[in-house]
Amino acid sequence: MLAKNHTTETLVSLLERVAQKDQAAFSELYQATHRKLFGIVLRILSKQALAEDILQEVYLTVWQKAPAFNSEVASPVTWLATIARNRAIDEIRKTQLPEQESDVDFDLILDDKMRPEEATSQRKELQKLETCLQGLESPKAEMIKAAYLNGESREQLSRRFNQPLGTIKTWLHRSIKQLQGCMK
Amino acid sequence: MKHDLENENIDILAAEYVLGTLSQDDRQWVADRAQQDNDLQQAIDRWQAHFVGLNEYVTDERPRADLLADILAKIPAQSESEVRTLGRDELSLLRQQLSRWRRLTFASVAMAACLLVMLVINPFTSTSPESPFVAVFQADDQQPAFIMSLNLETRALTVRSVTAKNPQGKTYQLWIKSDDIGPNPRSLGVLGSVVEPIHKQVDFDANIIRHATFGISVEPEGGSPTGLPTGPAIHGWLYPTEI
Repeated sequence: MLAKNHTTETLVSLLERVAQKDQAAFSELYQATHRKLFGIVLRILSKQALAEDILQEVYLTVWQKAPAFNSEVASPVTWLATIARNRAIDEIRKTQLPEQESDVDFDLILDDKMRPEEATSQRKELQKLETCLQGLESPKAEMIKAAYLNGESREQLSRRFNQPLGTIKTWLHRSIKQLQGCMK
Repeated sequence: MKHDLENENIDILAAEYVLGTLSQDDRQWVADRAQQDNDLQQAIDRWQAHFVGLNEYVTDERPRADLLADILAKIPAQSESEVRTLGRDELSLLRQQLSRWRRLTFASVAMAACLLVMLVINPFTSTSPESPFVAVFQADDQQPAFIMSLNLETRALTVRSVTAKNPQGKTYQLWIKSDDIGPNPRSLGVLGSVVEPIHKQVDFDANIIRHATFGISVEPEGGSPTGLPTGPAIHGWLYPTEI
């Protein structure tokens, strides 16, 4: 997730400095996180120029909202990824971009370049989620990943899985309830 | 009117909001409600933490190399803009208070008078907006397609459609061209929907902007795939509005 030499603790420290309007810390935070955040935004929006415009807005939001970051509520990675995903999904819902043409490869392996402690924390969270997703009936785990990773709406999921909208809504609600019980 | 999602289970709402499966209206409704409903906000925080690990499946990507420079250039301008907005907000608040106080008793009238003095001496009132420059974009002898106004002091510009409609399956993209910034036009971003005025911040030096050529081209959705205009373009130049 992060460029080398950065951990959750160093990111928290950077965000605290950004909250004090420290531009050097902001640049360092950008260098540490922008490739992953751009990956998230580009995957949802598909278009390079639009994704770059949105990434600019994401980091300007980070600059403005850094004082509101609370490390007891969310990790820096969760906080940053949430800002990026929310902005990208708002954009795609607003502009109604066409569906992505490429199929999703859900068998990608984890990024081995992460620092061990960060990787351990991220992997632990992901492993727990993956265990719970495996408990869902096929193809509901794939549906959850298509929604989260590609920002697909219920309508897009309906077309992807060739199911009526009502069925997708039911699948989503049942999957969420099952995951909720499993993730506790 | 009661919203369709009013009685929805809070965890279902939160999870669908985080997954991104809701429509734009429903997303906005959940985001607004979460501002006032702490339980919903906490549920959203929980689901964000549950799902964040999935981002490990996302491949890192590289944006253009000068993006950070563009962002940094916007930060001071944005801070100034926040100050100006704050100034306007405060002024508006003072005016509202003044209006309310004027309806009160004689004693309050005296207070209103004091407030009026504050308005007069308030530094925000003495800041008059700079006269903008405008550029007109039109093709041949037709009606203008777009009008652009730009404040050289703040380098904030607004593009407004006059006759241009959103092109089917395409998008408009705004460019600036000046020999001082290189041989090729530089993108000022896609214009998205032209139904409403579009605001952009230009990061180049005011002297460069003043004498630059601006262009609006028709590009594939999401913007030019090459970083340069690929479709038909119309051009405009800045003129001062003061005679």
